[in-house]
Amino acid sequence: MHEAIWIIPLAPLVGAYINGKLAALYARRGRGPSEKLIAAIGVVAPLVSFVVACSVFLHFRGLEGAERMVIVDLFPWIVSGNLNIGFSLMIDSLSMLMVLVVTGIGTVIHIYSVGYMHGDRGFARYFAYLNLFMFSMLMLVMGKNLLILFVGWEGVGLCSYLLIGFWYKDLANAAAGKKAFIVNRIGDFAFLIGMFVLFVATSRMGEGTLDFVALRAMVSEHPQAFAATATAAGILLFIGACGKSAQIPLFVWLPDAMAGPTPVSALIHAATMVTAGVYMVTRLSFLYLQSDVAMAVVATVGAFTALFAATIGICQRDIKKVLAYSTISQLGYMFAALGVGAFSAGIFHLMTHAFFKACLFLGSGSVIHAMSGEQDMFKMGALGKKMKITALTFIIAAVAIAGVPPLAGFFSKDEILLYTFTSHLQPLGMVLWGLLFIGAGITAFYVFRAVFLTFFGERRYTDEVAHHVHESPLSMTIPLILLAVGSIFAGFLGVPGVLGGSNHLHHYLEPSIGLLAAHGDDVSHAVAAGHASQSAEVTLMVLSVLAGLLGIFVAYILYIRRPDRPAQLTMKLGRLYHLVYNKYFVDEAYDAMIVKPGYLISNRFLFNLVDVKIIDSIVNTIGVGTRLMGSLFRLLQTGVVRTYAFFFLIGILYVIYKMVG
Amino acid sequence: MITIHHYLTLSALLFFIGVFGVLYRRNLIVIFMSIELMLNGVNLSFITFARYTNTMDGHVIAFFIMGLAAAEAAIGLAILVMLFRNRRTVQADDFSLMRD
Amino acid sequence: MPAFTIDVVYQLMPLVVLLVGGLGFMLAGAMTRSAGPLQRGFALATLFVTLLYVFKLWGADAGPILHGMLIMDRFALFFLVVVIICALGTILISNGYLDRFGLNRGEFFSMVFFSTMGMGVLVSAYDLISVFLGIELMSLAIYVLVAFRRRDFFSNEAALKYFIMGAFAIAFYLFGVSLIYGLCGSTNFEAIAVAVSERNLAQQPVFLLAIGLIIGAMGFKVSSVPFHMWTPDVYQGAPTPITSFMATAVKAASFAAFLRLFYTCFMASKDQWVGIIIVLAILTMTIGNLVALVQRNLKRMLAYSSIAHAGYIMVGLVALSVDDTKAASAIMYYTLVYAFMTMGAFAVVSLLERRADERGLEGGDYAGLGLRRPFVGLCMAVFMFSLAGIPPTAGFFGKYYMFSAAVDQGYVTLAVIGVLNSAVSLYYYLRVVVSMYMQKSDEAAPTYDDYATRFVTLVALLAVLWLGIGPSGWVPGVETILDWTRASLAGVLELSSR
Repeated sequence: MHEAIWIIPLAPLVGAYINGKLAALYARRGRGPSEKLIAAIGVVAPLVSFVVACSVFLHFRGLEGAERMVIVDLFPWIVSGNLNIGFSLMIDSLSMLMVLVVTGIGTVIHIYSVGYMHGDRGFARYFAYLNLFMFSMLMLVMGKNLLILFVGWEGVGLCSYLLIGFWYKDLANAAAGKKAFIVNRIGDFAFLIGMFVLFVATSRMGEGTLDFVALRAMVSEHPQAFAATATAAGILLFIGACGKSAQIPLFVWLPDAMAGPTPVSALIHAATMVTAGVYMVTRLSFLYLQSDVAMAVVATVGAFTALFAATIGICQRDIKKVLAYSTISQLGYMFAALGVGAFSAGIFHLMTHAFFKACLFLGSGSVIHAMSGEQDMFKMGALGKKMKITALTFIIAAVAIAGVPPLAGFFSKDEILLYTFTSHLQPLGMVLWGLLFIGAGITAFYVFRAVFLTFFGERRYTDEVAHHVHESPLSMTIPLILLAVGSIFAGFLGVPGVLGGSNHLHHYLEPSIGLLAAHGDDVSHAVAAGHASQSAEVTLMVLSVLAGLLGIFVAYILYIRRPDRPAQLTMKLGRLYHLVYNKYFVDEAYDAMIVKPGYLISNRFLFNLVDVKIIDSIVNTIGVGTRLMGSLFRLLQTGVVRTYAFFFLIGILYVIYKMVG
Repeated sequence: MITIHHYLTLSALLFFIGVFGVLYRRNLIVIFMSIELMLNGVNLSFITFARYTNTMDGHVIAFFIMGLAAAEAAIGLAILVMLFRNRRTVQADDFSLMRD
Repeated sequence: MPAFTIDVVYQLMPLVVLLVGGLGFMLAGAMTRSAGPLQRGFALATLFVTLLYVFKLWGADAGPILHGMLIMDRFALFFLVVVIICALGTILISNGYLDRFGLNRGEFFSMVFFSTMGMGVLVSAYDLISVFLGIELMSLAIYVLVAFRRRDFFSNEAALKYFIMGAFAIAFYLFGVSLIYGLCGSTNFEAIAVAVSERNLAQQPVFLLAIGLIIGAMGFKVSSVPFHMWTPDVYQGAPTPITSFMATAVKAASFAAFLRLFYTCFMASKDQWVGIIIVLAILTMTIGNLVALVQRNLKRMLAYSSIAHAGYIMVGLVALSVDDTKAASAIMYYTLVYAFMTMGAFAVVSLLERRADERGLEGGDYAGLGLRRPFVGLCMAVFMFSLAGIPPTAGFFGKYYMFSAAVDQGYVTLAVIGVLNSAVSLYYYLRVVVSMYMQKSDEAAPTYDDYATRFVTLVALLAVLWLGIGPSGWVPGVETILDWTRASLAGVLELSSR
């Protein structure tokens, strides 16, 4: 059974195909099959994947370390010269975890979507895209080589584009989709070059390859030879990851991506796709470990993004925007972890984040659904009484992200903070820790600001809206409950030793990123990171919990006890508030510095001068000249047969002259 | 003494008289005759070489050529008749509807 | 050894069947007013029988027969298959065409058969005189076919021009042959090759003079510049099925003879003749493409395009080498591919051609064709892409093999010129496609519902795509065909090196 892992990506692909056909049918006829059929196909497809994934997981349970590996070579894919790339899938510990997260949370969100998208004209289209996304994402995490990963990488990008612009009739949505696609392309470009660099480097070493297993063997054999490559390829690939995982400077697309349906935001723009970069870096951990520079870049960008995005989250009014910036910030935490060599901590946070952030998004979706599409938190309030399940699950997830023990976020975030603090990259590690520590407090503040504004306090909406406010249907609340349960318990997979746990996850992932230990001495001291004294560890832990609690307390004071204070503070801070409220004017800066000059150069210089004036005139001259020559030669064709005989004779005489003479 | 060179010179002369006939005469019938002249020049050359190399092939080839020249003439004249019926002329230069 | 054993007759069967077919249709033409469906069926059946014999002979790969006049080796059989495919296509295209133009006479098929038989002799010729006989047999029938629209001025004029130039050229050929006969004492390929090496004739001026004369005559047959001037006029004036027959079958058979002659007898003098073939190839490609640019009549444009393609094939002749069959094999592959794409293009042309004064042939008549007749339009577009050499069509791979053979032999500049010429040709080929898909037509030129012709376009379409990218399997793909050409050439080389 576990050999049949190809079913895992295939099932959603089949689902996407069938629903795509149904959507096309609907588009042509104006009416189509019932929503029930579409929903059944759409939900069963990821469910099948999940079941198969679980069976593989059970199979793995009895195996030790490196044995946890299934490889299926489907067919040779690109064979050309010394380039030989097979279409091969692989599941090891790391992929296993990712597949479980993707299919598990994916299935839950598919179920939620059935309720959320009820009655939408594009119901079949929606599920076709969503299934196609599942397929792409699974290819991404199951690919045995970098190229298949890249296919999945592009595939999820495409689906993201399609789903952001799902309600494409609103131009703003279509524009948001385009923005996401273009920003991602910038990253992908770097990603491609990174792949080329790797291929060239391995070609020089012997056989060019992009296969993870082969690459890893090669790197572990000649670690020194890969130092320069690791820096170049590592940074280039990380730029790709910045695009996909919304890190500085390519994060600008993610807030706009909230234009898509909320379940999409939960699945693609919080739980799975945006974590692709984290997965990729972890997958290539053996390579990154060869370069301190690349690692430092990853860690620094991650930590800065974590704080930067968190501060923007403070001032947002739109509930989904808050969550979007929160996602960017949390992804920053993950990258910070990867950068200091704590790969398993990064993946751990990826997993817990998938639960609580999906839960938050779906909760917000439930709220928006109830509020007839209103997303401004300042027009909500006191919803907790009317939407008990939504409120409860939302609060659980909020506590989880705030890092309050013993919920999921506490363990994973704490591990990251610990590893940054004790990183071998000192004093960088301390600075990063500081950033992340402040970020943790802010995180707790903005997420509870959202909680208090939405579910508590006074009612700030009209009676008309109030009339429609209701708890969401079961198909939406059950996923919420499932995810909330996950947010509570997922953290127990990685209880640190100091609290009496044994960090199961860390051991589980070890074979996939085991090189860390193998080179503990010379290349990386990251392994030593966990070896801080127990008292220090506990101190850090207490500090981070306190930061979280402080954040919650401040939010409570500002938005429940003294609801008049925020407005006063806004007035007082004036400029600073304006700056943060407008997201530091990053979009505007990009527009002024890159988009506008680029457009001007393209239009004035490249188009009007180079293309029209220079290239076109050269081409036209050649064209006219060629035709002129054709017309000249045509004059020889007199139509008189004796002329033809004459030219024949000339030809023969010339031939003879050349031959004999 | 008439040597092989004399024969060959004669054959080349015949051939080139034919060539110039094709080039410079306008009447189609004369052009056809010029082509026959070229072929006769070739025939003479074949027979000369047959004698010179003492093989029979050249003689046989001459007959082949004569036979095919006759067939060619038959078709050529048929085309000529057809042209004359349609256009009432046998001047080569009149047939230049197709050009460029 | 007696010349006429039963085995020899067996080997001659393809030619015999064609001869019997020709004679039979001549009788039928004398006795009936018009050729009905029965006769057309017979015509196709006869060609299939010929094809059957060809396939049975493939395994034998026999040596010379009839005192070294002919040789039915794989090389000959390969080209015979090409020629018969062209004849089949011609008969299918002419099926409706003859009715539309009131030319429906049994002699038509008779002449097609005689000319095909002539090509059979030409491709299997192993003696300069059988080359002559083959050319004459082929051409005499074609003269008649070109003139088949008896009341049409264009058709008359085309026949006249072709006839005069053909007779003129063959006289030069014979003059060259007589010189070689005088030098070598024989006209047999093998005997010539032996004599050249024994008497050291390769650099002998008279021998080179003879080669020059033969290059002229062969250049005429394959319409190489400057011996090409008849081509556009004759292609334009001839009935369209015959134009396609000339552009494909005649050209293939002539190149077969050209190739065998130069690969066996004249290879020793390659250093002497290669320079002139380079010049001719460049002139042929360039002038063919340049003049095609300014053509309005589609048949005329295709005529110039066929001149240009002769130039590409001559690049292969330049790259001929005793050590490497790559160039020769590229020529064979190209001939086959060219036959399919040209046959298909002319089939589409014949669908639009109308009787009155050359209507339906101007570029404007194709406006909007791709939208009015999606299938016909698609076929034409693919043929144009293939002729222009755009991947993944067979035309691209044909050119690719040809030019890469030239590069292998060190003729890089020639290959570059060839590629530049392809770029020029893109303009006039794509103009047809642009016209078909991007122009609106005010008065739509009708296309005829001629299913036999459409079948030809379909087969040609599939062949053009399959020969480009098709894997070898039940239907022979590119690799299989290239293997066949190599097998054929191995025999040719073996004989010449004896």
